[in-house]
This record gives sequence, C-alpha cells and structure tokens, in this order.
Amino acid sequence: MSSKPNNQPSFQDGPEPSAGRALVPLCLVIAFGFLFYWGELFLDKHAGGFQQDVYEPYRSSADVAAAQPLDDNGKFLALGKQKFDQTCSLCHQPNGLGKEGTAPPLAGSDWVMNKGCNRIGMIVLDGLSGPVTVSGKEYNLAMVPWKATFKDEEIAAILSYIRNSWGNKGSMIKAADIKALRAESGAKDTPWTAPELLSRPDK
Amino acid sequence: MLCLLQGEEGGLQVKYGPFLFLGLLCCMAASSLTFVLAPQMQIGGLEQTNSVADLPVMYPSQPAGVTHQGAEVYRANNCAACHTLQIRPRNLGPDLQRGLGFRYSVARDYIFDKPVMLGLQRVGPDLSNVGARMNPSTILLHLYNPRATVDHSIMPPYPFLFEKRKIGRVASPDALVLPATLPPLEKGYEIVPRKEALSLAYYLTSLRQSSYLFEAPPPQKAKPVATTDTNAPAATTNSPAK
Amino acid sequence: MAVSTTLTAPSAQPVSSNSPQITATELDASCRWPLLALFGSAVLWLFLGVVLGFINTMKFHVPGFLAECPCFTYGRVHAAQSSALLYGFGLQASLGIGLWLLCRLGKAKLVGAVTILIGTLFWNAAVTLGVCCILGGEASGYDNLQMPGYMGPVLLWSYLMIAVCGILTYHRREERESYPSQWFVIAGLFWFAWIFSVASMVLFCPPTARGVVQASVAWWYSHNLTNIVLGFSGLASIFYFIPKILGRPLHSSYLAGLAFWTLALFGSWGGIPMGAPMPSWIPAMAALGTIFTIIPLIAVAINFCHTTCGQLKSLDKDVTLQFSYIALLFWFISSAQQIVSAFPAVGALTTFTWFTVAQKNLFLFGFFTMASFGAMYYILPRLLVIEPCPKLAKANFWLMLLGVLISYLGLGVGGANQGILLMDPANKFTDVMRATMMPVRVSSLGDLMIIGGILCFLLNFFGMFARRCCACCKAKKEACK
Repeated sequence: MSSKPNNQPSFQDGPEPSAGRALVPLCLVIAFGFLFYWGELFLDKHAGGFQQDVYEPYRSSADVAAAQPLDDNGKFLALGKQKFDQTCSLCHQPNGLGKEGTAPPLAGSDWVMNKGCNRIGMIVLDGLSGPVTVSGKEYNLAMVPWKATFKDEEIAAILSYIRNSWGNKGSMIKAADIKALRAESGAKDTPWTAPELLSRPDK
Repeated sequence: MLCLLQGEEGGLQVKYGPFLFLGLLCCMAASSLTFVLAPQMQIGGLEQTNSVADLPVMYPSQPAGVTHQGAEVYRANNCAACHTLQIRPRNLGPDLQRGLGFRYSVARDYIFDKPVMLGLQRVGPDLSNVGARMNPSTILLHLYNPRATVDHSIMPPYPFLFEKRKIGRVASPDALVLPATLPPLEKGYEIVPRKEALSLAYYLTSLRQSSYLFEAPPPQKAKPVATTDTNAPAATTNSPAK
Repeated sequence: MAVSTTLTAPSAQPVSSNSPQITATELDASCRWPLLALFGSAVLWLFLGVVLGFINTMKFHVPGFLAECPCFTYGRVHAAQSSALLYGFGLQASLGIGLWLLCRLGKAKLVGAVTILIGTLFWNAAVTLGVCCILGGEASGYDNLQMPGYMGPVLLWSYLMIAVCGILTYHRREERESYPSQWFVIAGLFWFAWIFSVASMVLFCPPTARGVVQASVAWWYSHNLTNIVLGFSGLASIFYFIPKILGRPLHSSYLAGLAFWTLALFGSWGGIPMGAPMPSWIPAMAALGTIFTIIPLIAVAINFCHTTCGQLKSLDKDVTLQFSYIALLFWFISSAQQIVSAFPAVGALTTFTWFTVAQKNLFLFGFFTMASFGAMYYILPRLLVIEPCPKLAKANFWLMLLGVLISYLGLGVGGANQGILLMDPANKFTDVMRATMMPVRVSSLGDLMIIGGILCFLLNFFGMFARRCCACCKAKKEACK
C-alpha cells in the first residue's frame, strides 16, 4: 500500500446474488410427510400423553398408577391421591390445610377422623352448604356434589387417602361402603347441611 | 401440496415484509408456548407432597437458611459447569445402574431451588444424592484437595475456601484432618474451612432425592438400591437413608 | 491466494441498474464506523473468550492451575468464556454482518449510524461489566445466560437500539425483492429481542418461575440463542457470499424458504436433554423438534449442491469463499450430530459427555466463527478501502480449520468413549474420566491453533486499520503542502 498511497484499491462488486425459482422436489415433500407421521409415533411413545406426572419410562398416567407400590392399600391410596390432587386440592389444598374461613382443613379434622364414612361420604356424594364447625373453627363454603363425577371406588379411595395423610390415621374406606351410602342418598338433589349430617350416627 | 404452499409463501413474502414478520411471530409463539408457558402452567405450581411410601412426611422439605447459602456458593463458582444435579430414568442413561441415585429425578425435587442448576455436563459425578454418599468432613477435604480423597481426581482444588492459620489455645473443631498422603503442615498451623466452605458442604450433604413419589414410584421388584459410590472412598460412605 | 477483489464478475457494474445514484461504495461508506466498532469489539471479545477457554483447558493438564484465585475457578471462567463468546463476539458479529447485508441487499444506506455507535458502546460496557461480575461470583447460574439479571435491561436496550436501525434500513430498501439472507437477518434481530426479554422476565423479574420451569426456559433460551440467532446469522452470510462470489444465482428461493421456515419452527424447539427431570413430554418435544431440523438440513444441502455444482475448483481463489464453504460443511456436521444425539437411544450414551461439548464447539467455532470471518474478509477491506494481508488470511484459515478439526475430533472421540465406558457400571467414574482425558488434552492443541488463527485475524484487522490511518495522515499532510 505504501508504494501507492493515493491509488486506493477499487473494490468492484459483482451483481448482488439472485435466487432461482426451482420448486421443492416432490419426493422430498412426500418424505417429510412420512417424517411427520413418524413424529406422531415418537410422541405417542415418549410424550407420556402430555401429563404432568408421567416420566420416562412410563407411557401414560395409567402406567404410573399401575407402577405404584404393589400393596393393595398403597395402590388404593395412590389412586385417592391422584384424584384428590386433581380435584379436591383446589379448595382443601394439597397439604390438606384448607383455607381460612372457607374450605375446612382435612388434616387433623374431627369430621374426617370419624369412625367411618357415614358423614363425610355423604358430603362428597351430595355436597354441603351452610356453616360448618371443624376442629373448633367455623367455615362456610358451598361444596358441590361429586356423585356424578366419581365412581364408588374413587370416592372410597379419596376418603381413604385423606384419612391417612398429613398425620391422619384412620381406617380404609371400601367401595361397598360408598355404594351403600349412594343407595341411601338415592335421588337427593340438595346438599347436606351440618346439623343434618350431625344427626346421622358416627359410624 | 406442501411445495405449492411453500411456493406461495416464498413468493408472497419476497415482496412483503409483514408476511415475514407474521410468520416469525407464529414460530416464536409456538416455541415459547411449548417451552415457557406450557411448563409454567403445568408444573410451575407444584407443591410439597407426601411420599407414597412414607405418608406423614412432606417432600421436599423447606431448605434451611444455611443450605440456601451453600447453594449460593455453588452458583457463584458455577459448579454446574462440571456437575449435574439430575438422575435420568433407567432407559435413558446408566445413572441408576451406576448407583448415582435411588430413583430418577422429577420436577418436584427442585421446587425450592433458585436458581435451578441441573447442569449439562459431567466432568465430575452427579451430585443429586451426594448427601447419601459423602459426609461433610470428606466433602471439605475433597474441596481442599480432591486428590486427598479420590485417587486421580481431575477436579481443581479450592484453597480459597479455606484458611491456614496458627492454632490458638485450642485447635478449631472444624480444622481439616489431613491424611498422611498429603505433605504435612508446619507445626502449629491448621487448615480451617471458611464460612463459604462450611455452607457449601452443608448444602451438598443436604442433597438427597430418596423419597418415592407418585410420579417416581419405587422399582417394581423390591431390589435393594445399589449404593456403590462413584467418588467417595468406601471408608467414608454413609449408608443411605431408606 | 487473493482476496475477493480479484473475483469480480465480467459484467462488474454499480450495484443497481434501477437506482444508479447509490453505488456499493456509498453503501459501504454509510456503514463504515458502526460496523468497524461492532467488528472490532467482536474480534477482541472472541480473542478474550478463547484465551479464557484456554485457561480452563490448562486445568485439565494441571488441576491446580490458578486455583488460588477465586476469580479463575473453572466454573467462573467457563461462564465468563461463554458470555464473552456469545454476547461479546457472537451477537456483535452477527449484528455487523446483518446490518451490512441489509444495506447491500436492500440498496439502502444504513439508518442511524450514531444510534448504532451508542448502542455498541453500551452493549460492550454491559458485557464487560457482566463478565467482570461473573468472575466476581455474580453468575446467574443459567447456562449461556450467566450475566447477572440486572444487566438485562441495559443489554436489551442497547441491542434494540442497533436492531431497530437494522429494521428501519430494511424498511427503507430500494430493492423491494428480498433475498433469503435478508429473511435470516431480520428473523435473527426479532428473535434475540424476543427470547432475551422472555427469558429475563421469567428468570429474573419477580415473581420468578419456580422449580424446573427455570431450567426449561434457560435451556430453551440457550438453544435458541445459538441455533437460531447465531445460526441464522451464519446462514445469512453463507447464503449471500457463496452465490455472490461464484457469480451464480442461488438454486431455489423456495428451498431456501422451506429451510428458513422449518428451521424457525422446529430449530427453536430443543436444548432439553432426554431424561431431564420434567414431565416426559417436554424433553420429547425438544427431541422431536431437533430431529425435524433434518428438513432444513436436507433443503440447504440440495440448494447448495445445485448452486455450487462443478464450481468447487474455485475454492482456493477467494478467502471468503473458503471460509463460507467450510462453515457450511461444519454446519452440516454439527447439525447432523445434534439430530442423531436427539434420539433417545443415542442420547442415553452421549448426554452429559464431551460429545455434546464437541458439537457445540463445532457449531460456534467451526460454523459461526468461520462464516463470520469469511464475511469480515469481504466487508472489512471495503469499509477500510484497503486490502488485507493475504498471508495472514491464509494462515488464519488453515489454523482455524485444523484447530477446529483437532479440537472436534479430540472431544468427539473422547466423548463417545466416555459415554460407552460409562454404560458399564463396573467402570469407576474417575477411571473413565482418566481414560477420556487423553483425547480431551489433545483437543487443547486444537484450541491453541484456534487462538493462533484468531490472533492472525486480529493482527490483520488492526494492521489494516493502522495502515489506513497512516494513509489518511499522509494524504492530509500532502494536502497541507
């Protein structure tokens, strides 16, 4: 450069590049179609139904539920926990402590820890309205009936779960118990109130 | 069909910038919905739960303050560059077969971590369950001189986490007990871990993913979990909590 | 070997026949100072980044190297290095190349040169401060987003200052028809602004995300930053320079469009290893997106096979062309490796090993850095109106090529070996790491060559700059006489 400082190099550029209009080969498009189909299969196999509690190597929520400890009680409680976490925990909280003034706690609750499900079973089936006193504190929140949503076995599992969680220790509830309650409640279409329930024997 | 569509698209957006912008917006939205919004909706609100096998205990437990301080030391020195904090399922890697953990890691294990440092490379072993295999004194010695606890370890030493000082009237209870393989210290001196080292060791000993959860059930065959250690010498291996 | 000045098409003419008032020289003059600032600081950061990387490599030879100082622990240097390379070098180089391409292809003068200069100044200040904070123990703990969260607003704001000027330049283009490179550049500008603001909001602005959502967001961000933002910039440069210097049109804009849109759609899913502690659909979607990037891979391959067919002999004529070809080749290898590793069966072996590190380094050094060097060898002489030293350019090319290859093979072989050995629980972890240390140490020879290559570029760049200044001074003196 020093030899010719004033004679700067002239950078001539070719024309700016242009792009041709050749079409995408058809065989490629077909191959990509197959690839997308394979993608579906891949997700079927590895995506676990897009569920929150499914991890490899399980394929679906049902697989995970089936893999719970082989002991029947444990499986039953796991089913109860799954249903509880999906539905009941919205008001009663995953830790069973409920919400101050509205949703009563289940942990350490005198209602939950009755001898059997004669009262709480009815609450789950038909709902509860009006004030209720739980472990000495008053709560008031309308609970909707779950009769149509859950099977007997599922209600029994949920009740067994809440009676055996967060420090609670209670007997397991059997599907047959709920079946009997459901027959007794029959076509009742109004929620229970606390005094009505308290008039039922604790068994 | 697709080639026609692509042709149309290409032909259109060659002229009009807005099409380019709209297309990009859709692509950006698709990927952020999948990897930001959807995970937040699904697992952003995970709470403590009780273990399947051990009903009265809530898992994971709320971390103690010193644990948090230790995690801060872990973050500041970016230990995650070489160590992972995640155990893969049996079919996706040899972690469980190697006895690195009791079960695969799940989202719930990390709900109290801030930041979550899962790590992407293992120059050193996974630490998700290091609390089950090493005790605090071994961890401290390992930080001071990795080759004092593990032969041929490639980990760099962290001498700045320790202080060499004259022994006062009484020796410090925390002072490292150096093994005979290391060159002995001058007489009257001791190596004492600083606060950072102690909290880091406390944090590491707290790492243990052993509770079986609904989403991480125990293995079907009631087989005892292998506890072979990958790093710590056998003499210091604790028996894992069952 | 001569630089691209010699390779003008026979019908060399002013840039546009439609608007003869704007010549290529005028366009280059309009972006001279902003681009020199961007490129100059980018190359300095690149050099700093690889030197930091080398400090870490030394720790594999001598574990106690610099261990006394907390600032130089492996983890901190690792985080500082990735920040210097991605934010200091990667984004600034991609911005510089992007702005130049928008000017050239749109036949519009650069808008807002002063704004860009101020933006560059703030960006460099923020990155400097960020890297210092990392070395001081303030790293955020998120991979590739290690600068502390409070640097975010400054970074975003200075990036936007530059990016908006780029968008305005595109908006004011004289040439209405867009060329694929412009799509890639524009996409990159939007993309970084979006992912950076989303990631900063979710990770640093309270209420921050809880639990592994953080990991999902951080990995998504990191994957998008490298594969999309830097990847698009490298591809933009390759899509421009190969047809331009060969003097042939790109084979198909439809294939380019297919590659662009599928890469934008699927390439942005990923970065989450199979087996991560998240519900299995999240890593599965990431793996699927990565596997689907085989579509852009094939589309780009076909496009360039047709564009360059029979022209490979012109490879040694032009240094930009050499760099672009090699960058494209490394993009293929690195993307293919990423796709293969996304399959669960392969991932079980390779995740968490040196194998993935080899892939990432190949992408960053083999593809992005090589493509940027190619572009800069074309752009810088035109900005400075002075020719680079061809010997240094040649040394730069060969040192980079060999360095990247040695480093890649070392880490790749070491990583594959590591993965296979770890599959057998009988092999102790420390023994496996010792067995794989040899190839990793060999790879540090490659790192050294990469540093040499970058040093050549640095010398060349500042040599050109100095000679230009001298020439200017002489001209002024003569004018005074």
